[in-house]
Amino acid sequence: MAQMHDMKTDEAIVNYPQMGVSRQHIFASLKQHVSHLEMAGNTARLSCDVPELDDALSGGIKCGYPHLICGHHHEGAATGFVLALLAKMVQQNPKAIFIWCAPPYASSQGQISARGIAARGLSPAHFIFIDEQHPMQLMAAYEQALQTKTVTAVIGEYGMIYQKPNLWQDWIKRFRRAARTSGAVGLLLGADAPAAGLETKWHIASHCYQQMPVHLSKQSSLWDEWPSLWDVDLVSARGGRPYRDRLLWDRVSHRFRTLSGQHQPNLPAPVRASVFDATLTSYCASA
Amino acid sequence: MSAHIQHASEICADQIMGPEYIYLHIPDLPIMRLVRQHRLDASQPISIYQSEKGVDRLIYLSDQARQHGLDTGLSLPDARARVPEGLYYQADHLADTRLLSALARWAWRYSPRTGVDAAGLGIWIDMTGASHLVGGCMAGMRQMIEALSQAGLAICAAASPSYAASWALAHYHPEAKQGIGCFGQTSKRREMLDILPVTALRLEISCIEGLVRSGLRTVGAVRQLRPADLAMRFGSMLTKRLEQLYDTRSEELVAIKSEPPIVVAKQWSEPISGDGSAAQMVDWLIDEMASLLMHQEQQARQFELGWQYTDGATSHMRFRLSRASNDKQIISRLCADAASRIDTKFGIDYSWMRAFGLVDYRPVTAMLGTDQSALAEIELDHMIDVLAARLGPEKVRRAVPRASWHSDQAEARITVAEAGTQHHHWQVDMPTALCAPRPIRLLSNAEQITTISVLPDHPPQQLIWRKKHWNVTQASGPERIGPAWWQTDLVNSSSDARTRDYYRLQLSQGPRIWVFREGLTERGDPISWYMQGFFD
Repeated sequence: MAQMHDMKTDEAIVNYPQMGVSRQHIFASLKQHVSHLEMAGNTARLSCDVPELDDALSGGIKCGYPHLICGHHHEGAATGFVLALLAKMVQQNPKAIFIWCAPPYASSQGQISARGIAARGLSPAHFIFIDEQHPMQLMAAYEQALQTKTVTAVIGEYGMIYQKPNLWQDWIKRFRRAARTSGAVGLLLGADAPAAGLETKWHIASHCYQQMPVHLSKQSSLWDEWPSLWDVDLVSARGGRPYRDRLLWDRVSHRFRTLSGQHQPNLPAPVRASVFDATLTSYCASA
Repeated sequence: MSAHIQHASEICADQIMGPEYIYLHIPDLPIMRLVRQHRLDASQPISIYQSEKGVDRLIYLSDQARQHGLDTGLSLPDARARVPEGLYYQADHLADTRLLSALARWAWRYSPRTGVDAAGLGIWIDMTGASHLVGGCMAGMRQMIEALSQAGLAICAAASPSYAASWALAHYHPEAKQGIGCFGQTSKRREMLDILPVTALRLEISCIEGLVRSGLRTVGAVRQLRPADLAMRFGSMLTKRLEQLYDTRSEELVAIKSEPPIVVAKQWSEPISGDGSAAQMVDWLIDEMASLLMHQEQQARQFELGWQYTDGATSHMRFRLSRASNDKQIISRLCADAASRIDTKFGIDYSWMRAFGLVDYRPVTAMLGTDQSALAEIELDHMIDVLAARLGPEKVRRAVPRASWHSDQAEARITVAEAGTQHHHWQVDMPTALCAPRPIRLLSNAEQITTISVLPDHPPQQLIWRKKHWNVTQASGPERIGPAWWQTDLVNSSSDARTRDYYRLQLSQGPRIWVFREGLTERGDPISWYMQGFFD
């Protein structure tokens, strides 16, 4: 057995130089091969509506894997981005169930609000909230929820656990196994954390308006619309590549758009016309 | 005692027709429970305290504690300083309520309709239509006093045609310790009730204080006044309580319910000790219970696992399912850690399992696996059950809407079992531009901020939040939300009664926040700014 192993190693050493291919190219081709194999499998993906972003993700956000969404603790941007992804999932499956695991009354960043969810066109009836103060218990609950096939996505606010690298890696492995079992999307929400073992890592920040998108007097609705506009940074993606852009979230059609709006040649029209379109057009003209 | 009861009997000598309520007040119940459960020496001063606004204060005292100079409302450190040898325990209202429930179940022998008044430390028995079985309402009350006195409980009891009158007499009538009846002519009943203090009206403390400040110290003094005047000055609750007390208005009472559980039990030939044996015992009980439920074509929502030690002491633990089931695997998973939590001590010689909340079988299609949606619901419920068993049911919750304009009061988180279908009541408006903007993250307590504005009624241009300066690039608002005036006690108005102007602010560093100004500048109110939540 040992002789066989030695022989294969020798062959490899001998053959690669003969092929005239560098080690980097070999790894690149192997990675591509693995990603094609995974693509060939029946892994569902959630499209982000932006072709460049979908391309960077090799087709979209993979279901059945854990993803890391990072943001500043005093912003709601990362939470808003997660809600946008969940809204897209509801479009695909109107009976989607989401489990939101978070410590109760998270002190600095506040607690997810059901009224806030409803104000984004997403019914809080889709959600089950797990409030647990103890971080280990919370992560165990997250894993348990992620193993359930009926659940569409599980969102976990991990707090400070990532500061203990061994513990963090152990949990990531377990989340990966659990998500593979059920096919549910795992979304980990919190501060910037190591992404090893996770399918993608995102960094989301609110984009600061320097100018009001549309003056209040021009609004035809009861409330002036502040579009959700994020600086989206796809830091890493397995089988994909990094990507950075400024994305807008259309709350009416539940679609992502790039700020320029030039990359949507085949998108169908929004479900219904809204003041958002006027807002978007005006903002793009002024930007 | 018997002489006075005789007196009570004379009062009810008239033929009693209509409703009859008995109220048994047990003022020493928390102390007696402690003495029994912890096997304390009753001759020692025993006190029970609870935290009120961050301070531990005494709420229940034994007679010995009172003799040592302690009183309710005293802070725990002061009490310890005064009576260092005293015994001090934290209040356990849940245990007290359980004990009262047990007493209410005991009282089913007198009437099928009994209930618990946890706040008043008492139980009530609706003897209407059942009093003749025990020789009359007063005779039934005498029997109850005698039985409970023999058990070592000091009882204050009263019987009358209304719950409110029975409650008031049992708590405040000087002769209630011997049992008192309030039947017969209306004028006589009024005489008995008129002498009671205004606290007998079960009102909020602020209202009681207001009555006393006005010189109204007895119920009779309050009754002399016009109801319209009373309602205008002290609120409609006062007139409602008066009407209930004098039996001109009925009161809705919630009786405890009974349903015979399914029980499996086993007397073990040898006492069980050790974790392995306990695990076998639990497995056997689950197996038997699942078989019995299957045989009877029923499913249960709640299970009680109980055992008796060789010394006669008993203990139990309860488990709850989100969806009724009779599946052995599900019950086993629910009780997975039960064996490890059982301390077998010197041995267990008797154990049982009871199933509550019984319902009929699920549809056959779901059992055969043809109803996919039902199967999906079952899997989800199982996950909820496992998490509820692991973390506690109060930590697995759904959000349900509440009718309030204030964001922090506009939703409630309740357990999945309690939610039922309430979580489907959310209204999601489309297009969302027509919805009032609401943040996706709310701070549990609004944080006060310091602001700089051009004018007092303008949104801030700069603010200091969490010791950091933030520049505001855009502002939107105000959205004015007034106080719930129909619920607010305008007599004792607090900060909750002030109008709020909410603004959305875009900060130069990126965050979009929701702030509010409390108080109206045009009225000259004192102004303060608060941070409430975050937008995306």
